[in-house]
Amino acid sequence: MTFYSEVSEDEQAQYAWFMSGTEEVIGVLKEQITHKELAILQTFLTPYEVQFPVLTDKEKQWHAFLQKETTSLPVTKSSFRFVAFSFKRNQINPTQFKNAICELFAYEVPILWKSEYEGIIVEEIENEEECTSYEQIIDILMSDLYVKIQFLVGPFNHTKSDAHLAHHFIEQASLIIFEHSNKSVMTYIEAVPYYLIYHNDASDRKNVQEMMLQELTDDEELLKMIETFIDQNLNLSETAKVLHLHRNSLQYRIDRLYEKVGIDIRNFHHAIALYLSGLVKR
Amino acid sequence: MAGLTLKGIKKVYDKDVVVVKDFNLEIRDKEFLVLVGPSGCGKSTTLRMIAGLEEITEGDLYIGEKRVNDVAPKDRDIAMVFQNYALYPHMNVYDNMAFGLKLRKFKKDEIKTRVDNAAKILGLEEMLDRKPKALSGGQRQRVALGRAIVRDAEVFLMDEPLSNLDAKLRVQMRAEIQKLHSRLQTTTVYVTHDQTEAMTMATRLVVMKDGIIQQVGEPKEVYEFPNNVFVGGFIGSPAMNFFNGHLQDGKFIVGDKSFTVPEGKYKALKDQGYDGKDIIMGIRPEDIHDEPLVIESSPETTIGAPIEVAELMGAEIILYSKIDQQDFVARVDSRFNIEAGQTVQLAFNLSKAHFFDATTEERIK
Repeated sequence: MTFYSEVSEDEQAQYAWFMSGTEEVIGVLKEQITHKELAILQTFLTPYEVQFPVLTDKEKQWHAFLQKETTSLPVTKSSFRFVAFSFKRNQINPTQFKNAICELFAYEVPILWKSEYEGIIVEEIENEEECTSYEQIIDILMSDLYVKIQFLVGPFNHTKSDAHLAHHFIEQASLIIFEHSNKSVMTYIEAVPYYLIYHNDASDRKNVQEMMLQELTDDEELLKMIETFIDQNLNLSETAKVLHLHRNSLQYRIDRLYEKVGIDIRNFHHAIALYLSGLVKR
Repeated sequence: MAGLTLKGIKKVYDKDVVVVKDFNLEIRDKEFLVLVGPSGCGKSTTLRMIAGLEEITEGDLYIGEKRVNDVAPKDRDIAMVFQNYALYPHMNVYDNMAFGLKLRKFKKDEIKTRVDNAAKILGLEEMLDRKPKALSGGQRQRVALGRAIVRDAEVFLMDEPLSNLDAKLRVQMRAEIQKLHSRLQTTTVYVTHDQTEAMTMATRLVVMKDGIIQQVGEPKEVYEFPNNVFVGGFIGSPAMNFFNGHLQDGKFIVGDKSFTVPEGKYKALKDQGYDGKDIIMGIRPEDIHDEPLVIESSPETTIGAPIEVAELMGAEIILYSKIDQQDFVARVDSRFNIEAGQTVQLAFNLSKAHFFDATTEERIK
């Protein structure tokens, strides 16, 4: 018999795992027990699915709260946020992911697993504390865990109603954004257009695309310019730098776009409409 | 150690966005290969495909003799260093370097040997007990390198590892990474958008644009013989000057100025049918001279140039001027005091100039 933490990832499949009365995960080598002995163990102990770490008290409280079994918000700090994550299936053990996350935060961060490769982190923070930068931690995680990870970072919340709303949004939006965006870290703000677009009727979406892009639909160079201009926060000089164009050449192309389809991407409302239609095209 | 082979690698996102096209490259064992290009050119995507963090849409990737397209990143025997040198804030330097090995259930003794060895290589022996907060940016980046070294991997993959450091530290770390490479001799693929970093660090560099390799070669070779206008303009600082002009009877004509093309170059251009046609001339700023001796000996390539801006850099002055509304930059010795507003005689050394096809922008060889 051995403890779960003492067995390497590669050897885990050789064991039958059980949860003990003291909530410790223990394993017995499958080759050392008969079917009959296994059945007896399963009667007296709770079989344990290897894929997930043992639920902490806090995680149990969060599950109960989100399923509305209790109204008590299980937070100890002044605000909290939900951060959805996803990594490639069958490449790392969820326990390794959890260990790395807990080491980054230096406390047992609740993780609400949806499957063995996706779930939601609940991060708590005091007002005066410095916010975690997921752009920074994703690199350290990927270099240790050797797996592509994506995060969708939710807003900070303070109340029970906030919690239910934010959790629902992050859960739903993560389904869409992890499928349609290749970015490693996204915020809930970036997810909003995706959320809106993918909750619309398909034929409506097609109409928007055609209406907005007209003959530009296939002009890759122009589309790249638009995308870069929006990525660079509508900054002409920065866009010119990124595209290796002279500022005047870029200005000329933007003027031509206006002449062609009447869209002035220096105008925020025009830019956001183009941005959304670009997403629809993708 | 091992070399890498990329055969016909292609990456497509969202069904139709092609970010890397037909990428073919042999990366030699122990080589320090730099992928360089502007943002969005596909260099990081290529690195991530090598790492296994992005799937390869088409083509084959080999590490050594083994095809690794379907091998999980953790089994590829690679170590990665990223742009963000963030560390586990609550662990000391030793534990930060050891953590990846602990996750992989290495034995304690083995972890200690590897971490101590990496700390020695990087001069971090005295800092093993320190927490990241007590380290400078450069020291943190060294710990990040240490986290890769302890892996004892066949290949190092570095994605803009110096981008978050200030300019002075970047220069210092550049040298440290080079020393590290000459000591460990690990095959390294290094991604940067900074052409100076690429030029100074690479054994060979690969210039990329829009997902396509523009040129592969040793830094000096790429600098002196750029394949096309893009490479000429991207590699070198200040960038190569380009003039759109016309080749006529042995002269390159820009507006009302004309330059006599050296005989050998003109013959090559003429033989390829460029006489009487529009072409692009590229010339490096250091190949434009203001020394009286050069000017006297080459009146047929000398012009009077009105100086718009003169930047004194110490040993040299960068002069900004125009020919026929086309900007150019000259880098001259600062012995002569030149100021904006003056008109200065400048001699263009056309034996060092390159000519490019006006349509394809490829260098005419």
